Amino acid sequence: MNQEQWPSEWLRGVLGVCVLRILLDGPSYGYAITQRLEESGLGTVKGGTLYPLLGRLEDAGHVEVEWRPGEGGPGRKYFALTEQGRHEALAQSVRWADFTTTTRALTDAAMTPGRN
Amino acid sequence: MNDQKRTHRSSFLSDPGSIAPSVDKTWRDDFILELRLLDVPGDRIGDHLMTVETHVADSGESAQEAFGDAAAYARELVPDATDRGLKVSPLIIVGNLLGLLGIYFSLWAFGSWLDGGPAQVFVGTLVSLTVLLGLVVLVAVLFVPMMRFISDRPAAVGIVTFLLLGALVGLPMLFLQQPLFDVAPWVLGVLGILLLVVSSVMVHMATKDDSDEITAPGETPKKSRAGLLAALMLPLATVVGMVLVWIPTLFA
Repeated sequence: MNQEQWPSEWLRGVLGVCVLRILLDGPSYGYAITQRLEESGLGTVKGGTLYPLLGRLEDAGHVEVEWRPGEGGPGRKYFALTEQGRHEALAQSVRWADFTTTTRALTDAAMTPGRN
Repeated sequence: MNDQKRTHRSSFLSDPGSIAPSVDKTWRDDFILELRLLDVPGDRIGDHLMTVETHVADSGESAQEAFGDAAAYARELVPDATDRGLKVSPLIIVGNLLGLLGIYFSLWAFGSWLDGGPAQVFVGTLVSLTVLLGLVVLVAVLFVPMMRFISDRPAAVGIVTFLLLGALVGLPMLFLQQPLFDVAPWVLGVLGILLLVVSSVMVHMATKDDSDEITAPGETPKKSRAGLLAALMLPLATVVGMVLVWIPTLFA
């Protein structure tokens, strides 16, 4: 399916678990996270959506931040999972798998040939 | 983190958003204003602003494209945004009230002295003074919602304010001219100067340790002179007012 066609309400629900999953691979910065989400087929996620989410993850203790130096300026703000955040990322991934299995058990039947 | 502590040049007249040159000035001014009105500390504002700056620089998008409306994005960043608001210190409110009275009496004394006669107090004088002070208290109490209202339509508000002030303060002076008593100009002058001194001290006390400058991550602000300049604002305005009162007399 064309990634640009994902309903926004679906993306709002899945963004948190996806960002946690990306950060499991190591610290990253905002623009790189949006690029990874786009490469994964989830479409364009704007900074106005991503950074408030990262802020909430930081407030919850799942993420810590570090400004890494750049050339002549404060550089980039990197986000990294805390130990608590790694547990949360794994837990959410497991729950998401259960959720999608549950929903697909219901919705897959709609695709049965001859049903409609 | 960069171990070298860079120092941000602090100036009363400098643009606090200049740490984010890639961000459109109008957008970043709206962003900073909303965060200030939400009582976010200066270093946190700097952090949020630099986050926008680096994202805009990396993505090539404008701040509007990447983050949407500046004020709405600012509110997204602040937990419990609806319960927060900048609180204006009572010391600043009372200090500025006394300062405005000081300007009023000082200019009145100066004008009467130039005219060579006593200062005449009319009913309209007291009414105008009461209205002026009432408006100042209203502004202080409704500071945050008023700042949001003004930021969306500054030109219109400026014109309406000018006309409203002129009417509310000027009309009583014009139509309520029943004389009450005379006052020697020096009495008003001494009262005006005393009020300005007390006002300046109060404003300086309220602002000297509270520069709360917007700094980029890792920056250390220089000691700001903003508090001193804030304290001197009304005395300086008095001097300007005196010059404006004096100039027409040169052509009389």
